[in-house]
Parts: sequence; C-alpha cells; structure tokens
Amino acid sequence: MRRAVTRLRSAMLVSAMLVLPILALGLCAALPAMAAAENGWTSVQKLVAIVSQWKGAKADPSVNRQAAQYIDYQSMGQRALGSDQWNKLNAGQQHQFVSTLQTLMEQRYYPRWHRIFSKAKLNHVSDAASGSDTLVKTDMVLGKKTDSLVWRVTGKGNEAKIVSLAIGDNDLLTKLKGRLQEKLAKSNFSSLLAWMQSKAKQQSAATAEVSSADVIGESK
Amino acid sequence: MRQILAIINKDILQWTRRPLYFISSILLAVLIISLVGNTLSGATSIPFGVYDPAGVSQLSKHLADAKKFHVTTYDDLHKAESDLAVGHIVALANVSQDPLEDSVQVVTEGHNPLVDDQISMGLLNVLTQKATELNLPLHTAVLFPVNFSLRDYITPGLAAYLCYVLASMNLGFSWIYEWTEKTYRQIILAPNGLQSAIAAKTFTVTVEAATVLWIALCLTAPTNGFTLGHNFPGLVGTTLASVFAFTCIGLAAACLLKTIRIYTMTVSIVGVALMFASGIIIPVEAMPQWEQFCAKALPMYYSADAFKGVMLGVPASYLKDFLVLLAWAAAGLTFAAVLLHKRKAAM
Repeated sequence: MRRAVTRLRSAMLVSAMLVLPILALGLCAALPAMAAAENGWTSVQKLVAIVSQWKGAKADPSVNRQAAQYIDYQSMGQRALGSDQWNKLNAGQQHQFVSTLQTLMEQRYYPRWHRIFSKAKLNHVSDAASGSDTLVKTDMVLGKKTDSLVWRVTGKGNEAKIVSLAIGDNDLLTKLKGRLQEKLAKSNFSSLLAWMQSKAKQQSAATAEVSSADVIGESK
Repeated sequence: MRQILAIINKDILQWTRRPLYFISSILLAVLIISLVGNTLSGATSIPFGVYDPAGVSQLSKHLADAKKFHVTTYDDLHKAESDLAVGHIVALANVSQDPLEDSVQVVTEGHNPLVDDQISMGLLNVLTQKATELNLPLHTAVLFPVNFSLRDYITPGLAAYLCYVLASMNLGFSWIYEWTEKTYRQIILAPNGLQSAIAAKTFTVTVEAATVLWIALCLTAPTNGFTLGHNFPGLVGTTLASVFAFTCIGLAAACLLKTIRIYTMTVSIVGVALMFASGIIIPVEAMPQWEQFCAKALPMYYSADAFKGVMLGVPASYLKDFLVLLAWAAAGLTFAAVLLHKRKAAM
C-alpha cells in the first residue's frame, strides 16, 4: 500500500514537471497576443476619447497630434497605394503622400467621429488575429441603434495603432484603396499626389469635408 | 376736358352705388391670391415620418422648420413602414449614421407621383442646406442667395394675372352694357365725345381695378405670409401701368366681340392661357421654344416681370416692361378707336 502511494506520488510529480513547462510555454506565446489585443482596444479607447473630447468646431492641431499617435497613417498609406507602387517611391515622396493622406483623413473623418463617438458608447466584444494585424471587434451603441465596428490594429505593445475601421461590408481602407487605385490607373503617382494636395488645401471645415470626400470616397 | 370729367364722375358714382359688385371683385381677387397662390406654392403639411435610431442628426427638426412637412418621429421601423402602407404618412426617411458614412433612404408609398414631386422639393433643400449634421454626397449651392420663399415668388405673377382679370371684367361689362343700352349715344355724337368716352372709361376702370387689387393684396399678405416688398411707389406704378394696358386691350376686345356672353367666354379662356403661358407658374426658360416666343410676345409676361422686381427686389427690365405694356395699350386703344369710329358712323 505504501509503495503504491509512493509510486503514485512520483508519477504525479513527473507529470507535473512535464506539463507545467508546456503550460508556461503556451502562456508565454499567448501573452503577447493578449497584450496586443488589450493594447489594440486601449488604442481604440484612447482615439475615441480624443475625438469625443474635441470641440469639433474647428481643426485643432493638438487634437490631430494626439489622435495620430493611435493611427498608423504610414501603414494605411502603404496598404492603400499597394506595395508595388509604394516601393517605387523615394522617402520624400512617401512622406509627402502619408502627410497629405493624414490631412485628408483628419478633414474627412475627425468631425464625423466627434459627432458620432461623443454620443456613442463603445463596448469591447472580442479580438481576432488577421495575419500580422489584430481585429478588435466592438459594439457601438448610439441612441437606439447598435452597430458592430471592427478596428484593424497593427503593431504590438505600446506601438499598437489603428489602420482601418469596418462597419458591415464598409471598410475604410478598402474604400480608400479603391479610390486611389482608380485614380492611379488613369494617371501616375505625381498626378495622384497633386490631386490629393489640392483637395487637402481647402481651409474651411464645410468645404474640407466635401473636398476630402472626393479623395477618400463617399457613401454610395 | 369737361366731358371727360363728367363721364368719370358718372362711372365712379355708379361704381360706388354697387357695393355688391365691389365686394365680389375683392372676393375674386382674394380667392385667386389665396387659393391659387397656396396651391401653386406647394403642399405645406405633408405627413412625413422620420426613423433616426441614432438620434445624432436633427432631421426631424429641420423638416418641421421647413414648414412643408408634418413630422412624426418613429422608434420602430416596422411601425413606420406599416403607417406608410396605410397612408398615415406619405413618406418615410430612414436615417443611418455611423463612423464611416451617413445615409438617408426616403421611402414613399408610390401611388401618387404628385406627392413624390412635392416631397423632393422640400427634402432637397433640407438635406443639402439645413441638416448640417448629415454628410451626404449631394450638395446644392446658390449663386445669388435670396431671402424670399416660393409663396413670395408666386404672388407677383398672380398680381399681374389679377390686373388682367379685374381690368378686362370691369371694362368689358360696363362698356358693352352701356354701348348696348346706348347710354353713350349722346356723348359719342357730341364733338370729341368718342375720345372723351374712351379716355374717361379707361381712367375709371384703371383706378377701380387698381384699388381692388391693392385692397386684396393688403388683406391677403398678412394671412398668407407673402411679402409686398418695400417699393410702394414702384408697386403703385406697376399696377397702374399693367391695369391700364389690360384695360385698353379689354376695350379693344369689347369693341370687337360686342356681346357680354362672348366677351366673358373669350376673356376667361384667354386669361387662363395667358396665366400658364406667361411664366407665372413655370419659368419661361423651362418652356418649349414656341411657348417662350408666345410668352415674350404677350403683355402679362412683362407685367409679371415688373411686379417681381418691385415686390421681391430681383433684377427686372423695368423700361422694357413699361414700353411693352404701353405699346399694347396704344395698340388696344387704336384698334378700339377705329372700330368705334366705324360704329359711330352707323349711328
């Protein structure tokens, strides 16, 4: 009887010694994904807080700077243009393109996001990996309406940044990509950039939303 | 001159001794300005439903402020659709706003194209100019913004039409009646009698018709909510010129048609045709070429143009308008004088 108990204890000890490292390894693999997901959701929350607290009447450079910390415009620009076209550009052109894209996005979406998110409640639902990105699924309750928003977040840890937003079949990056590719097919990068810069030069908020919609696209 | 004044005195006495005729003239003018004007300027209480679950846009408020819609706000889309199907509302706006786009779907019941047309008129203005909380891919802009409504815009045309109606009715009935009764026989056979009769009659009818029109405009402006403008001397001048022109044309028609029955029928039919063909309801620029030619050849178009200028302050070709009206007046008087001289010879 004593021998049986001793043998049982040894077997349990060996099993534990074998299983625990495996569990630890698994946890170590999962932790970054969890952290990334949490950081993705954190980035979403911070962006929403920034645009909600903005007064919304006029463009505010400090608000734009803060919001830009949580949006990866570089990645957005690269994906919208396509890697083939992106790789043909020099650093200066890439910088100009991203900077213009950022201005158009600020003009087009920040006032809208302020209008919507300042009155909405955002709840975190789940996270899923999509290649190197994380899809942060949230529910937005606005009045009596609930919409499912999926935020595409790239990067890890404190560098998690938003690169797109989708509601149903409507995806910001897909719409932007379609628009730019359409324009690029009819002309070249220089014309595309000149067109974007002319739209971005609109000063008043009223005309800015109209003008940037020409580039980024409008609802159908 | 004495003859003219005597005839004027007689006509004005007769006019004041027939209060029923005076009241019915004003009533006719009031009805035309109110009912025709309100109908032409479109519906003002279209039952309209709004389903806006997000509650971010203020579309309900903007639609109500447009004073064309009677707005009902719904919390349940199915209830709104069933109300639309049974006719409690004639159209429904389903508003959707999210972080990427705004959309407004307008659903109508479908059996009444006139209602659809009326809805479009009011909705376009609200969605593109008033509802700034919605960002929609549809924009309107105005080169020369004005601050008057469609009701204000319709009224000058109706005033021109009333100049025609009041002048021709007043002139036609009294002239044909007195000519038939040979009331003017002694006057006309006297030296310069015919010219005196024509001058006196056109003067009294011009004053009578203009007075009725001004009273009707003053009575209906506050109740129907249209503006008379700030150019009262211009309004007086335009009314007198228009009424005088139509009086002279009426005189020519009365001399030609001779009997009250035929005169009334002809003047009524011509009046309706003139109203539709003179750009009062539909802009002349939107008409076929042949209609545009007809409109610009007729005096009511120029009278309406002058009335719009003085009542609304919009650009108007006053000199051209007055010259055309005077030309028609001269033509009418000449024609009438020729016919009357021939009949005088037969007396």
